[in-house]
Amino acid sequence: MEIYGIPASPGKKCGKVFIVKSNNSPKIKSTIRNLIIAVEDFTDLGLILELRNALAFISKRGGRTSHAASIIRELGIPYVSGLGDDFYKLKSNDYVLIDGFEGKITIKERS
Amino acid sequence: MVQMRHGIAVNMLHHGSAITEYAVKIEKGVKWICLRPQRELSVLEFDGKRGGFENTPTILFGQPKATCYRDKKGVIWYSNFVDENDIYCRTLHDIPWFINKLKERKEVFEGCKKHMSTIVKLIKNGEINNRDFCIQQIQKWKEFNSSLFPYMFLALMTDELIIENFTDLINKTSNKVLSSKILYDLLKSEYSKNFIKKGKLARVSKNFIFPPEPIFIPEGIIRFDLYSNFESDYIDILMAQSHGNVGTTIDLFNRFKFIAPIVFQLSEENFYVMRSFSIIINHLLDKVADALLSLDILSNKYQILDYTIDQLTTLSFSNLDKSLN
Repeated sequence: MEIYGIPASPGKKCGKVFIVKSNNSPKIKSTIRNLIIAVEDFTDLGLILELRNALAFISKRGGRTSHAASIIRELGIPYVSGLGDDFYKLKSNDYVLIDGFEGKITIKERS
Repeated sequence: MVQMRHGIAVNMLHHGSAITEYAVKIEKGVKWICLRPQRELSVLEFDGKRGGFENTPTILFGQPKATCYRDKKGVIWYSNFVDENDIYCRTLHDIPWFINKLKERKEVFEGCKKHMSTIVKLIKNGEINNRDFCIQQIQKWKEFNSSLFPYMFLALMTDELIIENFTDLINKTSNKVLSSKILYDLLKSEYSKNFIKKGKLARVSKNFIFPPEPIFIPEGIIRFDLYSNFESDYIDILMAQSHGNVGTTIDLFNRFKFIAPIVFQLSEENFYVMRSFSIIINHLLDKVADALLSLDILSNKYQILDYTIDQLTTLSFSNLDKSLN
């Protein structure tokens, strides 16, 4: 299955999805490494710095010009934003390929 | 929805931006627009920003002032306000006007950044405990907003429109991957770079909150020398096409290539400077609220946001000692 959003930061990465919710504890966030982080919205830019070991980012809202996108591009991490309701098609532990040039997410294996 | 204006396709989809839910209503024959129906301002915030909203048509286009009001929910409605398509078209087709506005904006923003640095030094020297200092700075914030806000709208209302139309132009005449490569090279911000270096956390929370967030002073400049390594690839693709519109497309591409990185950086500067200024003022309000709380004038700190700045000044001068300790 393919889902399309807005290409917001370049690069291609494969990995498991981890959905970060506002009620995830800071301890959980700080231990996240080598995962593709999916978040509804980056209302807290500090969250990006906490999650800078992520493989890639995905978000429901936001665009190419958001402040979050600017920071993520500076960090050199691929990012697809603005998925809208298709965001909810993703589940934690899905194995996906994220393409930050085309804004495409391919679900390779379901959790 | 795509609107045609001055022969240019204006893509009105904002892809989840803050002004996606742009609302319009007609009341007694007057057209009112609301740029951000989800964004509620307190009495104090609206009072602090009102002058800037009203001055926007005058400062940008030499038109009469806008009218604005805050409804029961705290949402702001404007009449005779600037139209985002007018800013978009003027920016794209009257580059000398745009450059002139950039010069004016720079002067205002630099003045504000300098003032913020001075306040922060004074706060560190303990002036935050001085009633007169706090009240003066809250009034100064209102004055600065009157001239800052109009220039914020240069990018606030058009950055996504410009960048999405730029993207559409490249997508339609070449391909999506190339448009991404070009845009990634052009959309860079010194403010984001410095934010990462400093590792300071900045919430995007736009309202005053108690306790306030830590003070931070943003650092950055607007760069005019950004270019993309993939521009020549695009020109090659265009030149290989046989239709007669190549010259027009290249002209439009060059305009977007100049404007898009600038409006993106303006948007970044708007965000970091205004957030920083708000946080500084939030610290001063916190101090005044503490003192008013101890006098039982407020029962919780958030009630300070129900006053206008003039009301707050009167209240503070009639009730508080010079020292807020």
